[in-house]
Amino acid sequence: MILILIIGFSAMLLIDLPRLIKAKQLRLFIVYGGIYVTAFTLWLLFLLRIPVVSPFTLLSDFFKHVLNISY
Amino acid sequence: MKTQKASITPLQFMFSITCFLRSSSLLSSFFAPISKTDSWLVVLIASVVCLPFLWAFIMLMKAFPGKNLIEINDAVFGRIAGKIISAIYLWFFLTLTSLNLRDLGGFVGKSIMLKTPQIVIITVFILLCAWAVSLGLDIVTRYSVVFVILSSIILVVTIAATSNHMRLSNFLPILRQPMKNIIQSTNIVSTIPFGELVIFLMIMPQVNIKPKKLGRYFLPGFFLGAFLITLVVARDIAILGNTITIFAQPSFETLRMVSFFEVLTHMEILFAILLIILFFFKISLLFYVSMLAMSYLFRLDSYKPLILPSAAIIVVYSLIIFKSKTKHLEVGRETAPFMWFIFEFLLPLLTLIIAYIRKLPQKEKDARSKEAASA
Amino acid sequence: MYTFLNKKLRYMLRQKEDEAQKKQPDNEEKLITGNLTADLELIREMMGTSSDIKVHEFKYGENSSQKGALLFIDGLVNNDVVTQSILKPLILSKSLNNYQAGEMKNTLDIVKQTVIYSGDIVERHTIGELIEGCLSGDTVFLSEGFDKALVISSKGWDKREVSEPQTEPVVRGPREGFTENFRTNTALIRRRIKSPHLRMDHLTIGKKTDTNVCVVYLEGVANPDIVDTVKVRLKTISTDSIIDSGYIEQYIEDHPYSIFQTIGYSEKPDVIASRILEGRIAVVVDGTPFVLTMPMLFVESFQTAEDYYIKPYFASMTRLMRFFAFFLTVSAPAIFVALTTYHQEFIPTTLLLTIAAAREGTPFPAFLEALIMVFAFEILREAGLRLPRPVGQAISIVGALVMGEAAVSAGIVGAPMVITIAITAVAGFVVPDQNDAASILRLILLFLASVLGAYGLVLGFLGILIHLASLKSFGVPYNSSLAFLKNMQDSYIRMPLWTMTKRPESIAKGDIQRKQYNTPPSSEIVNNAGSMEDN
Repeated sequence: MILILIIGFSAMLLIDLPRLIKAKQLRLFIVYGGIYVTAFTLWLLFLLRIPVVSPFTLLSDFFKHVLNISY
Repeated sequence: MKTQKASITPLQFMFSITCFLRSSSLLSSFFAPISKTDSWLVVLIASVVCLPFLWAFIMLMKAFPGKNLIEINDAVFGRIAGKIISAIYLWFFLTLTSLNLRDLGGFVGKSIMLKTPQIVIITVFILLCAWAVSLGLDIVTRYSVVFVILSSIILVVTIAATSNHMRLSNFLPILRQPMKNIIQSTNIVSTIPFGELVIFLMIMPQVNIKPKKLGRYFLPGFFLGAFLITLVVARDIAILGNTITIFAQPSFETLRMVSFFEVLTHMEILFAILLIILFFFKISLLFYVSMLAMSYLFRLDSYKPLILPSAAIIVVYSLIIFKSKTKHLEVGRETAPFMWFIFEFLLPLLTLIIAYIRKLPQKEKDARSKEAASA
Repeated sequence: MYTFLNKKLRYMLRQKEDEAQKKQPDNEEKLITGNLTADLELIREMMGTSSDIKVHEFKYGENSSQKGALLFIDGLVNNDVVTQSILKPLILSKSLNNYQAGEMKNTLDIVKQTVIYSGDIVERHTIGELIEGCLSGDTVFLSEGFDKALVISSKGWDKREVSEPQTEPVVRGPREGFTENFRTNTALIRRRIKSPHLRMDHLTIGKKTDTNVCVVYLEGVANPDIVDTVKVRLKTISTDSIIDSGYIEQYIEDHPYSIFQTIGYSEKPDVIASRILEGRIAVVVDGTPFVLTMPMLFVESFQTAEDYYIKPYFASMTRLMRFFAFFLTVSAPAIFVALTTYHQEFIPTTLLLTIAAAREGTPFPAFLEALIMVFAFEILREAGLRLPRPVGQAISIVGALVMGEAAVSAGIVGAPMVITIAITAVAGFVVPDQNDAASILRLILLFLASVLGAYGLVLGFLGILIHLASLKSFGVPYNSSLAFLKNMQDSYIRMPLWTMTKRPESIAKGDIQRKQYNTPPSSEIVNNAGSMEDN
């Protein structure tokens, strides 16, 4: 599975890199890199079955148990 | 930054709203088990209750023509606070996209494609949406009219085909339930189908329409969508009655009862096809809006390079967002209405009030009339 | 990567060489000297000693004192014109010097204006222009002592007569079709549009073929920006040969990598005339009966000329049926494979039993069966096109009946699959313009259906819709009139002719309102017509 992950992400890089290099904007590069790295880590954690807490469930638990607003 | 060309006609705009609402009608499993046989009434009440907030959206669009939500936040709240609020909106859009994608994956995976792993279903779908988004918003909204017409035809045909199973006594007794259920349902309907219309604030600048005529296209689209949802829910109640509480997808079960000439039975494949088409529209629109928000937030020229890695994030987010379907339903019914209420209604209302306090709409008009005079 | 860069470099170097070569003066630029023998030597050097190039030197004028030469290519000229209208008056002319006083300054002018019997005479200065005229079928008249020559039109060669086009037969409507002759084609268009605003702008394209190309449009109706776009794109074609209009189509189209055609073509003058009247631009190419029209919309493939000559109800029904047939031909194998592989519960029970029984003895999964049959059909179709006609009939019977029957009884494919492919094949010919796109789409959808079932099929259709929406033909969106946005009078159904009051707004500019008013035909009766009733 991790092999497929690596193949997928390198394909993504191959498709996007020429356009990024042509654009020559540092900000774009940084933002793209940030998103890419985030995606890669999340996928890795998901495939290794490490439970990742999603901010959505955190927020909803916050609402339910701390603020006690719920039906 | 980049200039957005006004490329969407008012007709496309109106039918995009209708199509968007129609795709949410397939998610009646969120509120139907709570308000049981009064769900159709709940939809009608919710559409009336939402009107003030929709009016707030329209006023915001009119006050800042040519600016989308992120730019409005910047203008109203100042640069730093505006960016923070825009970031929160960005998270909101991304979460919406992932939730919808998860719904699609769940439904398709459990009903028509039983042996395919959900990752594959979701990934293929988001790749298609990514392709559509990379071609521009015009491509996505162009077919809204066709989709609405198609879904309406299927709706009418299924109503006619199942009319022998309908029992009007299923609607009785009306409003005998505890008020708490009705209020909860109304809240859910206001936030999940209707409140998500806040994303249209993001694509407003691209619609080729005069600010005065906005209401003329926004409201009929909304009413048409609300009417279609009411029809769908009413059809389901008339056929399924109180058993609507136990099904995950009431419309799916309704369509199981459709049979033409005793030969073509079990037409729920129609429902599956319709759901895929409508969800494609909804998820593409949500994806486009989140990409646009991201590119404006980070002040980039174009959103196109960010599509693929964001798609990866959305896919993995939709897979890890809930541990189980029951948790999803629990959150959807009990806490999501309040959370979304803040994003969809409170924040825009706050933005509008602060904008008027700071007299920004007047300044905008002056600036624009000065530009028009000097040009 | 390395070979790619290498090729790019070599191409750039070759382009520089070509430009450098252009700057050297050609033999073609040389002017005509007065020396007849020298000029004829130069021409012989350039054109070689082919047996069909005829050079006839003669003496004319008073006392047969003037030397002249006629140059033409046998087979391209009308021999009667050369002998009767050019040579005879020249040889019989004895009184040239009588006109020296007056407007005509020299003998060549006298010859041009009073001697030769022809309506199309031009004076030329360079050898290149003479050779160009000669190769087009004109006769060149050179005279000793003058640095100009006359190029006299004398075209006459064997050509095909105007007959019914093979690719677009009609039941009701004109049966004239274009031929390979350039002038005949432009005349056929002119005869149908007798407006003085019809413009025919002439170009020659192709370095070695010098093909005559004509851009035909109605001034005041066609969008001038689109006309200019077409002309600019035609002028930037730099290639050796233009043999057919298909070459031009592939050089100027908007989306070369898409499977759909964005430039239409037709072989019938009435179709081309009605498209020009809607504001489109036609490109007539010498040597081919297929005339291009641009911009093209997707719905045009579903509109035939006959739709407009018959009453609207049947035309609308046929139009809807064509859309359904296109849908069927693209998706029938895919639907069959998806249903039998993934969603068996959606097939009605009795049919399911027969399909299961038929597939009992076949070794292949549904996807491979479909693939085999699709390729067998494609091979049959291609073979049927290329076979000489006497043999073609036998092969089609053999192919259709025997192969189908034998394949089923041999157990290679099942009978339901054969029927599905037969329906696919026949439906494919209802919309012949999109046949090539349909074949490729069929394979793509088949593959998607075999991998992801009905889900893949729906995604495939959505993908096709997205692709259609992203195509633009010369600035006009390709799927106009399909998405219920505007101009719906002529897409899925054909509304009566008197309701089509405006030309398509995205194509025409200027004279948008046709001279038609949205009223049904008048039911006026004059005087006493119909008052005599039978008792």
